[in-house]
Amino acid sequence: MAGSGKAHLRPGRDDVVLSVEDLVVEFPAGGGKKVHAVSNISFDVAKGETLGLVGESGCGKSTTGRAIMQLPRPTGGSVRLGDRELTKLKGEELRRTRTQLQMIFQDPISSLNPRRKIKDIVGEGISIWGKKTGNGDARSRVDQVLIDVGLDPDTVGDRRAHQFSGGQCQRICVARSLVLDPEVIICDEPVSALDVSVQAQILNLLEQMKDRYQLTLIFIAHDLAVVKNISDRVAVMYLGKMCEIGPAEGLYADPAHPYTHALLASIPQPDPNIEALELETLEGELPSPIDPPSGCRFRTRCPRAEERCAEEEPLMREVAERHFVACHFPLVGDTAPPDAGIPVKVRATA
Amino acid sequence: MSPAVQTKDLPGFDAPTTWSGPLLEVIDLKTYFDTPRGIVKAVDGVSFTVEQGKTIGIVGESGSGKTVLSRSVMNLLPKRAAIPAGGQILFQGKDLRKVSNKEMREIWGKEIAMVFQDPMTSLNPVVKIGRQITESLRHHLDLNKREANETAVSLLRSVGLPAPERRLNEYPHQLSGGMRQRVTTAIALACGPRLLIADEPTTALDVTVQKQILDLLQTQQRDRHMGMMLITHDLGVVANRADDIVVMYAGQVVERAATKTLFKSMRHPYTEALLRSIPRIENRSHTLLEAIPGRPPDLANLPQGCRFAPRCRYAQDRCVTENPDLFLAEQPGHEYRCFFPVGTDAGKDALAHNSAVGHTATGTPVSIHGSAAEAELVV
Repeated sequence: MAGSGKAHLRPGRDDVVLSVEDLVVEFPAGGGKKVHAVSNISFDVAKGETLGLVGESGCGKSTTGRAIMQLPRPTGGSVRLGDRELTKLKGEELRRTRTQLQMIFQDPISSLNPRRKIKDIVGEGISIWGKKTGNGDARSRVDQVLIDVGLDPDTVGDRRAHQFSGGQCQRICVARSLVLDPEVIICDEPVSALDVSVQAQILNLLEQMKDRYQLTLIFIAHDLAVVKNISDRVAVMYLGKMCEIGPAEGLYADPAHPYTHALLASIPQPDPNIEALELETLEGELPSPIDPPSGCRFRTRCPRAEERCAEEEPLMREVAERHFVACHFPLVGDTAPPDAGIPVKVRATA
Repeated sequence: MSPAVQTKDLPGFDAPTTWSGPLLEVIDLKTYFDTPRGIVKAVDGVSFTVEQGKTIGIVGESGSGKTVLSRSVMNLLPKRAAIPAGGQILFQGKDLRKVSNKEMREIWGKEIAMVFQDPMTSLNPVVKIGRQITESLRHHLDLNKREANETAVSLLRSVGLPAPERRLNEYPHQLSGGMRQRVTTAIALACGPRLLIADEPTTALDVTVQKQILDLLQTQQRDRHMGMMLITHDLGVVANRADDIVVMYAGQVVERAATKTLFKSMRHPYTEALLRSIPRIENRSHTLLEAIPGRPPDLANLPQGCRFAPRCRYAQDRCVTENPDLFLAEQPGHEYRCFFPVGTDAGKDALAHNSAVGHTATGTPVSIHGSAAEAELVV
């Protein structure tokens, strides 16, 4: 994995809202070295689609989300929203385009300004852009989105963030992202700071808002079950590269990349009949992104790695319908091991 | 993790034990906090037992009192704020509530040890790894410096840390999160404790590292025949690792059972709701989750009746006025705190009644889905 290539892009489709090609983000690390946070990532998202981005911490999934927002600007590559190339936009033009692109963050409490009233936080976008985008009466618009996310504007509006629980704060963050009627919302780990019972509320809310506001979502998370629940397509990232991308059902049922397989096998199952110790474990830790392995970046931890993986970087190729993998020895097709293709869950319980 | 190291060579592994009763018995434990907002009943009448060599899983959301419970057992709560309002914590027959800090020092690390949630902050950032491990070895086991270092190396090797000799001279910031949690585990295991308390040991870690650490805790627990309290908010973590599970809600035990019994015939609506709200990997995408409406009650201002009633699908008039006791289920050792338990006729009738009226006795609309409309409106 850790592969490049663009075979999985869909240039022919005219409903692609956001397309990212060869995105590279590097940070200076001192001593002339660079942190290769994101290296040659490409993907596209169609109108009304939810793309899930999963991977361990340090795999570059949040950096990808931020690079789409141009926060910070990517080192290379292109990010196209509709027909506009975001990496080339500057100043007011970029700010104006960004109203179409909103973000929801991981920690709902610290991402709300503690000194401002909720109605001002939610309404800020309108107070800046209201006249220019013709969104009508700011007050009624703020009230409407607060009602939509399940909060009562009359009681909530004049309060401040510390008076709310984590789940309520995340509802406020969702309201804030909806107020300008955006095209795309990037959700960066929006439920990982919440309790399970509240997490389900927010996931359901995002689904409803997606329908009501006709949104396109990029959903970044490390929890594979959460990502599957909300996504149409899922992309798996490892150390700044994309390993595998495909429809959620297919990718989880037949993971083609050894890393995807290992991730799926690590999920704790709420079923006492599965013996946890018997499931396989991915050994080792993420290598340093300052000096990533040559060839396939996963090869240092991959149970299937061979010499070729060190010499040649695998490219994205199709292994099933709309299901692409960057691996020389994927777990499906000719290179499949005898027991591959059986979903992890089935093998575990069998 | 590494099979080359025999756990039985490590100190304390075969420490003679004369105690044959339950390792830890917590009886009607109450820990309250005096705050400006009133008395916060963080732990309110909790009882459970940990047998030697067994793992007990303690499950609950944040604010359910599970962390205060573990700190009460460890006697680690600030004396000024916490009011020990009652109950007993019997560790090998000795009531830890009556033990002074000076005596506790002989128990901490040697008899009971703890692995904390956040490996980033539970290690001292300005002390080398080696000294943090050998500190308790030298104190409790009277080892000299060389012996202690050798033991520390074999401990680090047994928890699967690569190049342990080199690590002794490193500082915590030089290690990754997973490696730090291995170090805190090594510190906890150093003196061969009889009881290990793991308080959300993997919440801060990635899913692959989480599995490594949980596997490590489980193998060490089995090899050393320790008792373990595994505290978590994730039923998935304890489902196949704990022998018994205690489900806590708002400071109380709402259900307690052997793990298989709990998953097969759960009785409490909260346990059921908790399990149902977890997104499952085998479900199709876009499956609507059965969220629990609302949020846990304020521990300083608890409802009069059942503490879960405002969020419960089964709630009846009786639940609003009266907090149920723990009832015994047909399976031995299975207890639950509910008048209308799941899977019984009383429960079915309650649910049917609520669906017919359209809302529960507390006014929560009945629908299996946590839609935005039914989510709490702030009043």
